[in-house]
Amino acid sequence: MTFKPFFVALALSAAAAAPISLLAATPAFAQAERDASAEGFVQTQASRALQILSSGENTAQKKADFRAFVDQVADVPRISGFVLGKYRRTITPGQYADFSDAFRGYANGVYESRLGQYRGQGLKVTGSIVRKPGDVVVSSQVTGGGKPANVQWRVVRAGSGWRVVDVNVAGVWLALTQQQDFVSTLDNNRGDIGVLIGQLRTQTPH
Amino acid sequence: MRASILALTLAMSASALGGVAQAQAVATGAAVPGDPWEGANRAFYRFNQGLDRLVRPGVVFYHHAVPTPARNGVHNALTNLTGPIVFINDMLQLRPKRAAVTLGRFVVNSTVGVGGFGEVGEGVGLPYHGADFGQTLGRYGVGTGPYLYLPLLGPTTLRDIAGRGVDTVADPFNVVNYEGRAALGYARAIGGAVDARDRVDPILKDIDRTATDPYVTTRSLYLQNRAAFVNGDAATSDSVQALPDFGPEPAAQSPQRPVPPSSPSPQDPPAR
Repeated sequence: MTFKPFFVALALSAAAAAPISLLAATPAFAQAERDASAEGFVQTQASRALQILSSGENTAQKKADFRAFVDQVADVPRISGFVLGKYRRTITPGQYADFSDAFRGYANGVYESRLGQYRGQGLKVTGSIVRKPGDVVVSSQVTGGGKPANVQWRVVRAGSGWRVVDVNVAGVWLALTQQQDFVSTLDNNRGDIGVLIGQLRTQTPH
Repeated sequence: MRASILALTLAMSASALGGVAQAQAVATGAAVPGDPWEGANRAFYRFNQGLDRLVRPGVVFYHHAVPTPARNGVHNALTNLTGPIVFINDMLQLRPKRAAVTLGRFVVNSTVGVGGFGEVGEGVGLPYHGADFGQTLGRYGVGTGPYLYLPLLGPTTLRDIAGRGVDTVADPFNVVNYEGRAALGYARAIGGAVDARDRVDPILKDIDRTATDPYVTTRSLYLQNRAAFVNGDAATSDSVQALPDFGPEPAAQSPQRPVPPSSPSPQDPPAR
């Protein structure tokens, strides 16, 4: 009895919102399209990453192997430009080179720590959605460690192949989060890239 | 009286929040709504950080002094207590299959699992899923509203905190009169806080290690994670189209690779 107004209000809000969400969802289905080549790339390379991280070799060798792998598979230069957001256009080439160098070391540690949690597990690509030609989000499931985890990979065409530019775990895109973090640090330091570079060089992500 | 507060909260959530959030989503084009109260939010963030320095040693002690099976039992029992409100939200979201799973696991965990301390549901095909009224509102198209960082409670949004209020007053464990209601309420509040802080510890340590602005990274993680909780964590055309462009690779950085044919375009408008 007490809850009557509660349900009336809910029904009203639902009635108002439902047609809007239906309208928003309709055109989306028409654009969904898969890309087999991007899916194949992720299946091979992501499995390779988990394999490198679970190898029994000593830590220094494993680190070196993983870093070589990141250079080959991830488009770190493009990610470096992306994470700077609006500041990419305002810094000098020299500052950008310094930032790229600091970011590369930082990012390697972050990738190793993020993907390291799935070492020893299996990865299966479950589908993909073409955002636009040459820009695809590939979905995968990592199994073997309790509940299967959904991991998405954003891959872009680079030359004749594909490169990873972002990874999503638990709904969170890594590079997107880094962009928001870095841009805020720059905003709060009057755009002084030196402050950000200094912080990246002292962070120990793993 | 309680019903009118509920109705008011709902009306506020459905109309005011929706409009504000939509305007902000259009402005930013990403999963980041505005943070109009950033100054106050950052002050509360610093307050919580200070408080956490006092609280964390106790939580670390709990983590090491209490054996894992016992900690898992506490977590299971606290999760089981959310069963009724998850069930109500599953039903409000018109998802009867999920509601049936929630009801089934609440029954087996409360009985065979001895008051929910044992997790029996997972083993018999009734896995856990969460649901709350903030999510319900989100699924009906209500936007997040401004981001909030609150003392003790941490990151949230106007929609989610309103939803949390509704969940609290609609929870049968808080509404129905029974012997020991107050005691259960206190145990749940204290146990829930310790368990939540213990479970979130690896994430907070990771933020400490990797973020250059921990406040912003916390906000980003919360908002993206909640968006996935509302819309499901599978990629959809909508979620993929709402992503920002990556732009071309800077030519000077690696001249050996040609710039891809797709030139940068202005950020796509958000899906909604």
